[in-house]
Amino acid sequence: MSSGERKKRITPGHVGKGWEEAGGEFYQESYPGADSDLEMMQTDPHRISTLLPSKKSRTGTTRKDTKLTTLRHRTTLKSHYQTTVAPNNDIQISLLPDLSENLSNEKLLWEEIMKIKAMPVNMAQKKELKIKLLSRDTLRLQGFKQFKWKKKQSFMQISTHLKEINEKLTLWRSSLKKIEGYYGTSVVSFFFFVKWLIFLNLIMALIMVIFVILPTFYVNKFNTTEISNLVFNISNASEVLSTLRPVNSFLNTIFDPESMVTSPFYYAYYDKYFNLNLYCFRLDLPLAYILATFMCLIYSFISVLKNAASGFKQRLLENQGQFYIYCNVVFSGWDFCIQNERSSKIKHKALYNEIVGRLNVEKRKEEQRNRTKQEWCNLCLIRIVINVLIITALIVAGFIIFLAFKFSNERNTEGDEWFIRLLVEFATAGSIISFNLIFPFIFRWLGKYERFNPILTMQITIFRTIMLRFSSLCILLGSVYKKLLQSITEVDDEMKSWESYLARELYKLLLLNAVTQVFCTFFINLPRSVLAKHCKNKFVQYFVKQEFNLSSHVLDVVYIQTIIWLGNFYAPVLPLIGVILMIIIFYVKKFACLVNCKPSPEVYYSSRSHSVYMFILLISFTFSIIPWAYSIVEIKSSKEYGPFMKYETVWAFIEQIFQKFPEWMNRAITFCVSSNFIVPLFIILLLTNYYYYAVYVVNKQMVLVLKRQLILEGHDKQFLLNRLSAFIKQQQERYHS
Amino acid sequence: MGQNSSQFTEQELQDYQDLTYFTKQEILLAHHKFKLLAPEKVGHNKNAKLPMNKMFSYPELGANPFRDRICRIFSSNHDGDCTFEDFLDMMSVFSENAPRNVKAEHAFRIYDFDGDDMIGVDDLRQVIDRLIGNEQNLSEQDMQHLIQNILDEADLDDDGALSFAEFEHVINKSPDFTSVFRMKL
Repeated sequence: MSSGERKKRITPGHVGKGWEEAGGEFYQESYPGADSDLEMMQTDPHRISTLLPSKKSRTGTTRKDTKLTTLRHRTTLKSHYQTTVAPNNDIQISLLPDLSENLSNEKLLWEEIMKIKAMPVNMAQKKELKIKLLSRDTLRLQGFKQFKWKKKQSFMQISTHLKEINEKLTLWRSSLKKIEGYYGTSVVSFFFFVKWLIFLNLIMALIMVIFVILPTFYVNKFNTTEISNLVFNISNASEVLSTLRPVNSFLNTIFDPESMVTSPFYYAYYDKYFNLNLYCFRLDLPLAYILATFMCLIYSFISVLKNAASGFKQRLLENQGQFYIYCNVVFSGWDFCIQNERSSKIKHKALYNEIVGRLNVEKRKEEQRNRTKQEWCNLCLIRIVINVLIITALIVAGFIIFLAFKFSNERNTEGDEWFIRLLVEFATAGSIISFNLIFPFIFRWLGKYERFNPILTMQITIFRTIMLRFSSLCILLGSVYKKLLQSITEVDDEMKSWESYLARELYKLLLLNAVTQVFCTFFINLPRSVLAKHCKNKFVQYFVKQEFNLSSHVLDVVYIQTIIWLGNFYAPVLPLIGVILMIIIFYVKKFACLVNCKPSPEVYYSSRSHSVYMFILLISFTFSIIPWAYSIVEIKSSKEYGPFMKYETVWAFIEQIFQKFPEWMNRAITFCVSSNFIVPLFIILLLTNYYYYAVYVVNKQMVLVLKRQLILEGHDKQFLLNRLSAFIKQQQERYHS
Repeated sequence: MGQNSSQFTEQELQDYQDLTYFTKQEILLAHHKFKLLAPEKVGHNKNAKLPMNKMFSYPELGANPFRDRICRIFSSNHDGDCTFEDFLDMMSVFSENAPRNVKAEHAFRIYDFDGDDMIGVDDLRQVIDRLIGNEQNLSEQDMQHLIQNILDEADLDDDGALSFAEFEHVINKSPDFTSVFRMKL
């Protein structure tokens, strides 16, 4: 645009005086229009900076030049080269257009047309360019190339069609757009995260259904005599169908302890051996079961890792100080997708808060340096007290959960009212969930007194909440484990299949979690938001005001996912239930976001929050893997139920499978896990690590040196420009006088 | 939709598809949205020129603090009035498929208020003012501090203004830019 204005002021045809001797051809050649620029420069010496090559290369594309930019670029380079090498009288030759260059083939032509999109010119000019390009002589591709090109073209056509269809089929397109319009990209990234989790669970569920659930149903339906010998618990097809009625049977599985061994929701159900001969590969139930679980976990691990990797890269950048905080706020601060006045106001405010907050962090650093010893001691004391308080609270919470577990197990509910039975049944899950609901508020409240900087405060609060959620799960697992140990000495009917028992506890937790989510959103937070809108009392406002606090919502979702991973082995249907739950959660959160809450006056960055989600997810994945891995290696599998009843532990089965492998493979595996292999591998990894560290240090230094050099170059440039403009001014004065 | 498609010939649609980051259907959708801004005028002449005020009724533009800049940048005669083709250009740049450098180019022109091909101190001041809106006010000291910080981060050659190369460098390091500099159709 600027060049357009510049162009208008230029009167073409005149050649700048006093510059012809100094390689005029060079300037004319490389940068068409340079002569006129020179003339203009004489009227305004400061304009000389626009002659710099760095400016030219970009503005060249904005010129209202009928010549094709790409073409010009090529000829420019060429003539430049020739003028510097060849003597003056050869220049004429280089000026002639090279015909061979104009004759491009269809593919190149198409590529050039595609390049037009990227040009910052308006549509009319783009069209003109396209017509120009099309009117050029083109060679048709021959032979194989022609075939390849045709293929590529049709492929591209199909892919655009697919894209169009895909666009239409995209799940929740309008919902997501609406949220984006209200809250901007960072909050919508949370919903994309939920959507991503839904697909993750869907694939896990598919794996489980294909490898475990369907074959078992198949076997159940066509009970052959051969299999029925092995089957402990025969159930015919109609029974299977009756258990399949989702809601009814799901509730049954939770209230009726008997169903722990008869319902397909539990581990114990999968004890009908089947043998599927797929060509040379024999699949039986235990193998299918363990393979499916492994596939689920590995698939989730890879997809989480893949997503996390990009986030980590960005975090690294951030930590290295190469991240442009202020530029990021200013240049990518505004969400261009925001489309209503209210959100736009809040966004203004959020950006203002962010800017002031960032500036305050610096001021605070200054303040920290000036802090007296007395103040410092006080603050330390406060922080220690708060941490002790929180740890005590966590321990008390753990103890209460343990008591609740004991209570719900020991209390005999025969003959009680239904709601007392319900209460006893859900005592453990209820206590866990109520702590999950209450404690984050306490953490946030206490966090204020610690006087860390805001970002750190938020991170610490998230960390504490994660600790709370995991520790409550740990207590649950520990209690089940304790009960399991007890059941070895004394007969416990519920522990016939401890795997199913654990699954049952997890189901309860999931169900209650979902119910509380729905309840809180519609029956607590909705009235609060109504009050917030209509009651202007300050005291009331303090309690009813709600902001969409991204981190706590993320934790809610991650928690569900953790339980799914944890229980995947013990309850094969869990991923499927996870899909349904996540879909419900999506709508609940959408409601919470659009109706209940106001946008938070904090700036969340979508990229940063994405990396945080993935990081939390990775932690929770590791967390859910460890107990499972321990259980398959160490804990004896139940003797009467489940696919592994014939084996001591699940690991014993895996070992047996390994022994069936050919000799060489066994030897290779033993070698791979022996210290002969591991230790050198470890050392090599360490060395590589060190090598990259060394490279990193050197590169960092190099970047610093180059930056300094760049600054010096910049100063040189300015100095020379000043000298040049002074010189021109002098010349002008002499010319006029 | 059917009515809209009759307003364009197949050739025109093909042209638009080749010259923007849209598929034909998206182009029709874009036209539908453009038509909503001024149904009568656009129904009469599919490429009618809408004045800048009319353009602001497009929700994303209406809420945007840089709306007049955006309209001016994309308007074919630089006065902010947009035809459908200008609108299509705009949406194409703001679409998801547009690469980062194309977006950066236009962002640079939006932020370059005085049009001198450099984002100087005055440009930065205007950008910040528009970002934080009318209701908030940054103290002069904070403003200077902020501008200084930005220049410290991004002004590699220390000439007190950001050239396009410097701007592009910053944008490349900013992970959120492409997700933020976007309007969905």
